[in-house]
Amino acid sequence: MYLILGVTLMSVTSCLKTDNWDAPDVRVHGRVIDSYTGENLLSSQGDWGIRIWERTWTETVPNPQSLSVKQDGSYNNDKLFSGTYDMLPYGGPFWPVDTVKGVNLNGSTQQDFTVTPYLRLTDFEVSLNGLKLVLKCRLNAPIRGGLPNLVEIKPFLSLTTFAGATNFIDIPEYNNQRKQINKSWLEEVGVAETSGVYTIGPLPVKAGYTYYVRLGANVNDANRKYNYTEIVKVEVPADAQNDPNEVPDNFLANAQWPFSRSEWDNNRWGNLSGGWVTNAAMRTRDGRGGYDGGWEGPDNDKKSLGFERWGGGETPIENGKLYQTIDLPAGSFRFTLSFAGENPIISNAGGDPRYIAVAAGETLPDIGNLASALASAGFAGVDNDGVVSVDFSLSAPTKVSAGFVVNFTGNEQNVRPSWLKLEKID
Amino acid sequence: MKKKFLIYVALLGTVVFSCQDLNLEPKGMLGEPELFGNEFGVKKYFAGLYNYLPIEDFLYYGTNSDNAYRPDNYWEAGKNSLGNMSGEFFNTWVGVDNDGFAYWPYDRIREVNTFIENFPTYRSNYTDIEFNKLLGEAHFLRAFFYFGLAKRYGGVPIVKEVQNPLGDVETLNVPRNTEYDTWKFIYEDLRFAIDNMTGSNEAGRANRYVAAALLSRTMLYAGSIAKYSQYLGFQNEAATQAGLAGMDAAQANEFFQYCVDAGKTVQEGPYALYTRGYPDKATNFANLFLDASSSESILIKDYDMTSPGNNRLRHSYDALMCPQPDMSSFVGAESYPPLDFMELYEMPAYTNPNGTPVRFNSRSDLRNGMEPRMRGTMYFDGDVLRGKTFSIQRGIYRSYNGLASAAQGGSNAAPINSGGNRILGGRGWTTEIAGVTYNITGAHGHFDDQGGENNGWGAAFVRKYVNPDMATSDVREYRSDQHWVVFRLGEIYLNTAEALYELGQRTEAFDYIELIRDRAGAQVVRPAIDMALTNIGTVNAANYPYSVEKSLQFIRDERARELYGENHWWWDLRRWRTADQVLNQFRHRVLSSYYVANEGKYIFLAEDNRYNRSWTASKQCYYEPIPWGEIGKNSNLLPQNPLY
Repeated sequence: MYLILGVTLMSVTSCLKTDNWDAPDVRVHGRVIDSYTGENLLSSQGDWGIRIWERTWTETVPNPQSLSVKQDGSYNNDKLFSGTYDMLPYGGPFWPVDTVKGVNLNGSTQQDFTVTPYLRLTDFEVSLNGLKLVLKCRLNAPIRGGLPNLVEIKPFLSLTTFAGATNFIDIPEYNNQRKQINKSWLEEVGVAETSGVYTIGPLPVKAGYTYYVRLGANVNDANRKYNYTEIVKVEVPADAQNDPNEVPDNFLANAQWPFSRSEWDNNRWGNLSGGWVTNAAMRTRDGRGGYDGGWEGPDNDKKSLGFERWGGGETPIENGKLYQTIDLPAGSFRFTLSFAGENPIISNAGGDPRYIAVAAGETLPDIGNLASALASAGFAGVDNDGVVSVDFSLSAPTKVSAGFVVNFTGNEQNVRPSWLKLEKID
Repeated sequence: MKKKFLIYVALLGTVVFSCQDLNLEPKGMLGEPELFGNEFGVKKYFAGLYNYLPIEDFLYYGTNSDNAYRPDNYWEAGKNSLGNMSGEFFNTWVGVDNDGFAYWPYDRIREVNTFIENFPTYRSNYTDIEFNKLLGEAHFLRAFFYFGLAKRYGGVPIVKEVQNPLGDVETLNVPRNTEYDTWKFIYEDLRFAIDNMTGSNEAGRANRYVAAALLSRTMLYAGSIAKYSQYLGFQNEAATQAGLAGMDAAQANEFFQYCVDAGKTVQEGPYALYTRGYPDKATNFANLFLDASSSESILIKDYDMTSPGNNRLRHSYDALMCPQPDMSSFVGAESYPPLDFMELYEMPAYTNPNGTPVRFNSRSDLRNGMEPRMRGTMYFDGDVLRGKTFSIQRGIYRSYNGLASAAQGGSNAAPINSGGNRILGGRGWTTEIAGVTYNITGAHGHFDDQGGENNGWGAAFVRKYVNPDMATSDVREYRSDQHWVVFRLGEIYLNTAEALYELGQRTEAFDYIELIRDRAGAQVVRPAIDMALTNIGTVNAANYPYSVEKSLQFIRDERARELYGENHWWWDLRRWRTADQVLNQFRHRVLSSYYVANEGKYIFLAEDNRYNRSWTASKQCYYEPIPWGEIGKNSNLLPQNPLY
């Protein structure tokens, strides 16, 4: 009888309350301040956080909790238990900071932190041309000693006001436009505190859409989080379209390694595709010239623009020409030949005369008549990371030819560049 | 009175006789004398431990936080495999999982320690050779469990004795050893195993060569972890500063040399690269995984169809790798090889030098001139499996005038894909062009109206490990029993080659690469050594935080080619410290085939995967967090691994 009563009493009373512990109601909030600007650190929503350790209980070592930092560099949490906490901004794009110990949380507490970012992104410029968006910035690193390697500069576009590594349009058209660096500051920029201008884009956008865009750059520390520019709102007009007469970046086609060929000897030598023209003097390899696949056979085609006179028994190349003919609008132009850049068999061997030249009409003049060209420059002796360029102006739309003129009569003469460019500079 | 007396007698009888037999040994329970006192008992004891070895095989559920080694053998392991998780296969189910699943096999380690501690009691029951062999095998087992720990956590507590659960709390709260000490402990256990075991061979069981094979793999891992951890940027992390996560680069060569030495021991054994299927090098390569008596297998984990019920001695690999209904009678294929991995092999050009797509008379012509190993690893259009011919096509172009790049990676927005010029469809859909009716897709995909399941995604299906001898009606869940090859000589050669190259012995390294590539049927079996430096990887043009010689990158790629689909890739990326760069928005590309209607020819285009899926690993993946529950029990496990 008493047993039944006891069981009944227990079962009734034990369930009276769901929980006898009050819900946590202590608030902590504050700002993470960029030591350079005194403003909040530019962040992406929830990209990293403030680690906190509850120290009131000292029997065991507590596991950290993390309070997310918002896009505007502030944080706020009002569901904590009162007590003494250690607090540390952790995992963000800044130099490590010391833990703030013994913060007493009770009621509402403001706790600000000051951090020193690894990188600052300055001179952020956004330009919209038709449906193409171009972003520019410079990198600035006041502290360079011990700075981890630069990783990349990446564009972040979003259709909401949240933009950054945690909220962005994740498509190859944008992601592939990031500038991958992976070098130390000294290798990439030098001793200066501020880099040159990086240009990211053009990024295709859609008419009538509003984008929120920014750039981020990171270094190879443990967390590789980004330092950001501010967010810029870009409204693409509903009737925006690309200019059909738009000036291309490079008027030359097939002008960068890996070069593509048309027909070849199935081993090494051939002709270049994409508008390249040779004269007879340049076609010293079984009637072909201009393309050099390297000496490792067809399975290891090196895909280079190249011509040479190597052994004494070979036909000399006298006034050999390799060029493209293009219709140019009026304006100022620059024609550049680069041995710097990618090409596994880059070479500029020998000292025989060799020129880049631009001339009006459908061919280039001989070396003896180069004075008649719009512009020319010799490049014998330029080494494997050298660049040569010439500038010229046209007062009216003109058909011009641009390319190489060489006299290779000695042995061991060759040219295998990385890229060529004909661009409008004004 | 008499009645009372009888009751007393009865009571007395009960008290006296009822307890007599309670001290008998229970029948059916095996104690230590039975288990440790004879070799069959030891075999039984070890069988339980072998069952728990951290072998990432068909059943491994790389993303499951309860039990990744799946003793319940759940069929969905095929959807959530390590290859799917790490991007080696294309699938639509899982993404990179950095957190791990709290692997913590100290219960099994305790069982090994119990054996090592108590086995000498039964010394007199054994010959010297037999005794040493079994003791060595126990050390092999313990090293294997520690390998499962070290590759996930770095330094872990080294427990060599059987702990007394009633002992002092301080002695039970064992702190972590350094990562260097942990790998050295694995080395010492395996050295002991090699020195004490014999070469006698029993399928599924270790001998001295198996121990050497594990030593080869573990020491290669340790060497690269030592060499490349400096590039992680973990210098300010407490666990790294304490030596628990990361090692000094100066310690790398010690481990690489151990790896080379272990490889030499394996080579003393009776193993040879599998060539029984010659001269067809493609089928030979496929058969090396299926032949139960393969000369290349050093250790296999066996499965058995005759075992009762749905237990872990069966798996579902065939049912989940082959398209249904022609080659599978279950849900169908869940994993496909992405173009990014196909490109690692020698294969015919599908784009001309001038940028236009190559015209093929038949989709199957893609196989012409393909590296035999690639054909042994993947099935292509025209290949036959279970009496049916693979048929894979994504769609039809009415005409294709332009460069391959005009398709813009398969984007619907590309002009050439718009206005009805590109026709996509579902299973069995047809279209009529100029009075002729065409099937839009192949019989096995790619179906634009369906998702990632049972849908030829790209130009290939996985062939490695698929058993062609099953009837399609039999290809169901829990119906496959081909063994898993835990160690094979091909891997050991690659381990040795990589370690030799890291030690600067380049020519010797390529002696091994040559053996591998000759068996693969590659055109160039021995590429020239190229010491030019690069920090750009092959897959996803990854931007490594350090530079390697191009020939070392070639050796790494050779691993990806040879060991594709064998659950090595993820661990390789981790130990090279390149996972966060290779899997940096790694957006798989697929090779899609199209019929060009006005020409009557076929073309192949490199396309972005239709779901625009990408894989990204953070630097957290290099060390999984020590299970928080264990830290709750033992705070000496702190500091926690970096970034957690």
